[in-house]
Amino acid sequence: MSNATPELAPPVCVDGEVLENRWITPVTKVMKIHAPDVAPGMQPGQFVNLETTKTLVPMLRRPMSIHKVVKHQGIASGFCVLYDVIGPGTQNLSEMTPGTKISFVGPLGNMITVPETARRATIIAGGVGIGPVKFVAESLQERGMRDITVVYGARDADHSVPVHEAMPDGCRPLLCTDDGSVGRKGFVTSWTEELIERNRLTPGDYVFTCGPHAMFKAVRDLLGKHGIAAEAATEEFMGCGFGVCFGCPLYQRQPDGQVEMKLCCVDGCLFPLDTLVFEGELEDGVSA
Amino acid sequence: MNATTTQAEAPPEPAVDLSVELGPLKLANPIGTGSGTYGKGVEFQSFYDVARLGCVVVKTITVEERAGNPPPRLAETAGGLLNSIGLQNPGVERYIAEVLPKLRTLGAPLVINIAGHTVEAFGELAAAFGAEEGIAALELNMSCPNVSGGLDYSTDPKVAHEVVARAKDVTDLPLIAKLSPNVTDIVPIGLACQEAGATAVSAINTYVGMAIDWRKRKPILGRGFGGLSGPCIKVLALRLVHRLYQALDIPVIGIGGIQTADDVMEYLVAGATAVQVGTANFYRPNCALEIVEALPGLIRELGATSVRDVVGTLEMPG
Repeated sequence: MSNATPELAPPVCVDGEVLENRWITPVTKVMKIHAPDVAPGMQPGQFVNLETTKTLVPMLRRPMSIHKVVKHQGIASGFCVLYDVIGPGTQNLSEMTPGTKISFVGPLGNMITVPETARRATIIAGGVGIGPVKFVAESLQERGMRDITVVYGARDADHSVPVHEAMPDGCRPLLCTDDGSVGRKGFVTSWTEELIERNRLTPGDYVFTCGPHAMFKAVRDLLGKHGIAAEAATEEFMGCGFGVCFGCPLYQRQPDGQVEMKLCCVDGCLFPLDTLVFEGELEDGVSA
Repeated sequence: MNATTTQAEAPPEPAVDLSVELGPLKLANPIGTGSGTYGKGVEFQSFYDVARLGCVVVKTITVEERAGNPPPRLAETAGGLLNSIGLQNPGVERYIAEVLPKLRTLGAPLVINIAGHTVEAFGELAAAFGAEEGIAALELNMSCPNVSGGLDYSTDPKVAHEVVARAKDVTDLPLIAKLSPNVTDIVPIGLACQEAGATAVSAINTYVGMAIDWRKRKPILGRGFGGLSGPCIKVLALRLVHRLYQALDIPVIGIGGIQTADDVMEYLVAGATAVQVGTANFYRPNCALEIVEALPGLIRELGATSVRDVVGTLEMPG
């Protein structure tokens, strides 16, 4: 396995073409976008910023993790995003039909960093945080990693993305829902704790996680107790996605112990999970 | 898409002169970027050749480093964006050492936007940048609503005069005074800046506003309030630009909600000599260049052949 980080492709703003836009749960869709000029530069963990309408309602784009890079005869020709239909922006996206031109900015953000020594991976996803998992897991498999566990928690059966949509073949899915309608009743930490107890997740493994702040906090504290490092794909409300509006800060503890604001879009969106500081955990040292 | 058209039948289109002058500052076209919406400019280099813009106005620099305001910093509103960024920047010393060398490679005239927390600080910043090579002009941010005291400099004509005069004392660079719309009457402020030696005024900065999450009974922004920008403020800005154009002898730079060449034409007709594209850079990152490319066609529609022919040609009723 190589740890060589390729030079990230600079973002462009271009039109892609919607090839597919299909429901995979009652609330979740996957959109496939043809973008042969941009897709080859996309890296796991990166995101795109999609224009949902030309009418300014809403005005801002919607940032989405790259769910999958689509390959045609071995060459990347497009990409997919996975999204829940929640507000006016994702409603607009959900109404796009094949053939529609869609403007996107990308690729954006940093990419996963897998330690050369990592032989095994655990991916921990909550809710729509399942979005980037397929691309990340596929790239781990391409690096020769075979032992990949995906812990995935959703609200209920209606919100739980089917395993074959969520991850590539060959991953070990461990599912849970808040109400027990799919997999175990409970949270991702329950599965994660069990993995640790059974030595199926140990320091040195590669861990990728994506989900809401509450999940990040619980996973960070659990992994921290066992000295297990993880990489977190964060999301904040964004104005631009490429580092000019300064609208998407999050709090990160620096090596000297000071907490500083970093931009989710260009400093991340991937950060070491143990460095993230969430609302309610702030002490002095952050100037306003 | 289109069938091939026969070029031979079309009469040659007259060349359109896009160049404009802001006092001694000559720009190839009237399209600049709004401070705070264009980062350091280098972020746009992968979208298009930034050198094709009339000028680049960078994000505000202060004397000391500023971490910026606590999140949330943005709220999207109907046709607008409410922000409370808080002038996050590395401070003048690091900026000159680390950022300015990159800006000099952009190829477009560079306008440095500065904000002091005191009149003296404006002078300090103006002197520091005035001593540097490769800067076309300074824009004085006298009107940021998101820092303590930031609005005061352009709500009182006397203080506005002091800020411009202080900067004028220490540098020969052209000075653009950026005005706040959060005043009863913008004209006396503009006149005070003109009298103090400003080369131009830019209007407007953001409108102070508040977005509310009623379920939480709380403002959405971390600091409670912020500055409103975007297409929803264009008609408000147009009126102020027109008033300034009528009252002032120095050029007016129009800012507020510009996202198309049509928007720019409205500002030019209202009396703006140049414009800045702001919030649209966030959601249509190619748009400033698209405007530069579309502008000649719209100018020709008026039977004009230059930007100068269009500026201030508004016909008011009565």
